Amino acid sequence: MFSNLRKYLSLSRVSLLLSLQYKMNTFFLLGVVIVPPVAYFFLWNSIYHQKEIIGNYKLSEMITYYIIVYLFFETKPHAWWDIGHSIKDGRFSLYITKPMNHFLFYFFYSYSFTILWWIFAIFGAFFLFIIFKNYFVLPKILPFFLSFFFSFLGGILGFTIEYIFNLFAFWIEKPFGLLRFYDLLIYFLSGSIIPLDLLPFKNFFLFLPFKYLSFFPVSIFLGKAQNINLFNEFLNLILWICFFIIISQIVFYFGRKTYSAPGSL
Amino acid sequence: MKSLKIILRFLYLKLKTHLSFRLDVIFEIFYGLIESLFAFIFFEVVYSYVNNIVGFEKGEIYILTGTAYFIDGIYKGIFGTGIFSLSQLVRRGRLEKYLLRPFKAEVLILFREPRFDFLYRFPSYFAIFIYGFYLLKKLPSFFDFLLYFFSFLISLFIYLLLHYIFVLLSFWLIEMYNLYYLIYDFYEFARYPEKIYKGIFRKIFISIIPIIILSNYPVKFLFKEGNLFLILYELLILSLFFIIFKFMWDRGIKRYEGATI
Amino acid sequence: MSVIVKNLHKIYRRPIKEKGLKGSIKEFFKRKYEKVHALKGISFEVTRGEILGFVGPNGAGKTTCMKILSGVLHKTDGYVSVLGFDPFKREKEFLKKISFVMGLEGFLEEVVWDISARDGFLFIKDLYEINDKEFKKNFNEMIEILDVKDILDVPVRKLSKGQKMRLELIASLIYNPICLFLDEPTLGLDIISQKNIRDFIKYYVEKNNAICILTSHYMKDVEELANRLIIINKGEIIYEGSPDGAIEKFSGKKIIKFTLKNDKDKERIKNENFEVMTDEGIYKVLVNKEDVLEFSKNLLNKFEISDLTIEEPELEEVLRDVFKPS
Repeated sequence: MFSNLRKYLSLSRVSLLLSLQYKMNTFFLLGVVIVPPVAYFFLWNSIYHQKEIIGNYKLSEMITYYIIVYLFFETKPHAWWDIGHSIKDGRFSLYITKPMNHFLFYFFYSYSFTILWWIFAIFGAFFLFIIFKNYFVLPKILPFFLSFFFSFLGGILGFTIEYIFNLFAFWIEKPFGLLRFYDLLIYFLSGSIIPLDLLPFKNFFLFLPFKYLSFFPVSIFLGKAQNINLFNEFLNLILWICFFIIISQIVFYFGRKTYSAPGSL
Repeated sequence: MKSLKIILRFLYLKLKTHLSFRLDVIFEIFYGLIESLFAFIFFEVVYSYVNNIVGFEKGEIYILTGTAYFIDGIYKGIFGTGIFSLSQLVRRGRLEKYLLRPFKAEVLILFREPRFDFLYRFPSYFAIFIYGFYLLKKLPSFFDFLLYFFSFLISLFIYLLLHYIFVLLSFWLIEMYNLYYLIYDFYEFARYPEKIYKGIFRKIFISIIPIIILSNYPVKFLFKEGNLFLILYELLILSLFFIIFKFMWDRGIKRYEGATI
Repeated sequence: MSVIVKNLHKIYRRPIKEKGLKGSIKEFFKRKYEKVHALKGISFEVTRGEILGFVGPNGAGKTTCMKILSGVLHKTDGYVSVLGFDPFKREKEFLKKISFVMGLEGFLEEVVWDISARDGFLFIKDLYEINDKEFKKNFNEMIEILDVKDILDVPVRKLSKGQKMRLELIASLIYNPICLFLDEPTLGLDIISQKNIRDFIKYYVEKNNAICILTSHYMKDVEELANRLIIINKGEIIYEGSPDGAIEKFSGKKIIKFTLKNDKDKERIKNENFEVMTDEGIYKVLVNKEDVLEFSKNLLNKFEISDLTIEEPELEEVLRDVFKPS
């Protein structure tokens, strides 16, 4: 088992080294963490001129919500569309002839690649905190760490679901429309556009697993999860992760049978 | 005429390619639908709490949103992928393919990768746009529409040139292609009324990186708030950007080294 | 411990494209498919120490067969066993014993494009669970033989094709696999690099008593490396045996090589009704065996010949003839 883990840790090392080659490039990704919260700040600031509380959010909570939701959502490790691309162009063959699990390969590769991005993003969020400090809600120590913990687990969940969608490339000639559709869907369902508890039929949205990608961890950050049994939520999240991991292996198994290995490989 | 024929032939080939991937087409249709649906849900929720956003009624917000989506959609659908691909062409030394053609390379690149999937989003954008007028229960005059359309076109070309200028930086900053996504990030500001923005921020995004005006200025003509000054200002910005673009393109081409063997 | 293939079939499903824009729209609602029978019940066996050359025109089925043997593709029917394993099951012990080398793209380049090969090798070491002693021994030996010491710390993307291929070969063989699948290993390389690669492969197979299945469009690869040859065309094996045996079987022809003394003859020969190939001043004509004598006599009568030899055709020429559309 340890020799198995060792190969993935070795892969993580390679991935981290690669990410360091792209450090300036990674720096420019900050736009996606900084810009939308700034836009939402101006928007909600003007909205809150007419009302002190919207839903159960004060202005400071709403601004903090968007700063943290973008930090959590945009720093998720991605299965990327590279898996779908590699199935289409035949590079997938390079991976399956190696003694490693395809899912774990991308999992460790993606997570390690994201480490540098995470560091930049934290600085980006901190920059926003400085600019909007009058509007920022500072959490207590325990909710702060719990929110990051749940965000980390939510990241695993998001990665696994995205991995499954990428595997549809086995059956769909050009899966990128599906992947774009999926990206937009979870952008909304994770609460990145609007807090899920402001939506009509909120119970439905809160039942889906996508809340763990950002909405739920941000709720903890804002101190809005005090009446929630966090241990139950933790178990629920773990069950969803296990469920989707099993689905991913099943999809992979059947997908491989249809793989046509294109290219002169 | 010959150039138009070439471009049309090229687009025909791309359309044929696009139609061969049926599921891709279907999911792109769904994308358009839910993109507009999410915007609709967002504003319905907001307007369930307030009557207006800096004086913008619900109908006006939908018209602004529809306009912002249209500008972004037309840009991305026709020019976006092509312009962005310039950074890849420079990076991998493949620009020769375009420089050696008997046609302006900077124009050929624009039409390099049209994305027909954006066509499927237009009905949804149009629906939001029309719904806005339905809520306002009034239609602008034909002349207002004409001015709106004219301003819309100028905004589209300003947006195009903004992207192109950023991407031309790839002649100097080869490895920093994520820089070019910044304009897409900044476009978030175009979705909302310009009056919400204040201070130095407003000044920057109305002049230096004039994102805020792209959708806000055209819609002013539909709400009878437009005037000649807005058109002149947009034309001035367009001219300035075009000069900057030409300057950078000429310098960039001289710098280009091509592929190594 | 060998590669056994019995009655292997592979059928692909391929969409048929309709003409014109109208056709594209029609196809959007109802698509037509055809079946392509890429492998039609082929059977063969490869044992340890053998290098099998797998040749055929594009679309013959050789790469499809290689992909099935390496576990990449699923077979439609038949029996396949590689070193006692079912390749498609992808058991860890199986994957640690095989190596797939592509001429076009490699795993090392894929994973460590922007960093050095040395980092990639360390990852390969952990991936294949090679112990330190064995790794060091193989590593030192291979970098010496393939002369890559100076480029180990250069980002892979900055290397030439030949350098990348040498590093890929090391990455593919450093864990001592005993079954090698080489798909166009010398593709796009200069003559010197091609020779280096071929010598190394030969050395490796001999040293490790490995199995090697090689496809290549460079006949030199097959002639110099393969001790057995399979010729496949349209999914069927049309020959299995030695490379010399293939020449003997398929070529009812001989090559007549000659040089012309004067320039007038060099012009006149262009007007003759037989196909002449030239190679650095030497003229070559492929002639049926029974016509060699007559042809040589006519040639000597018509032109001033300074040198004339009659030889067996090379494998490339034979295969060109075999695969020529009739």
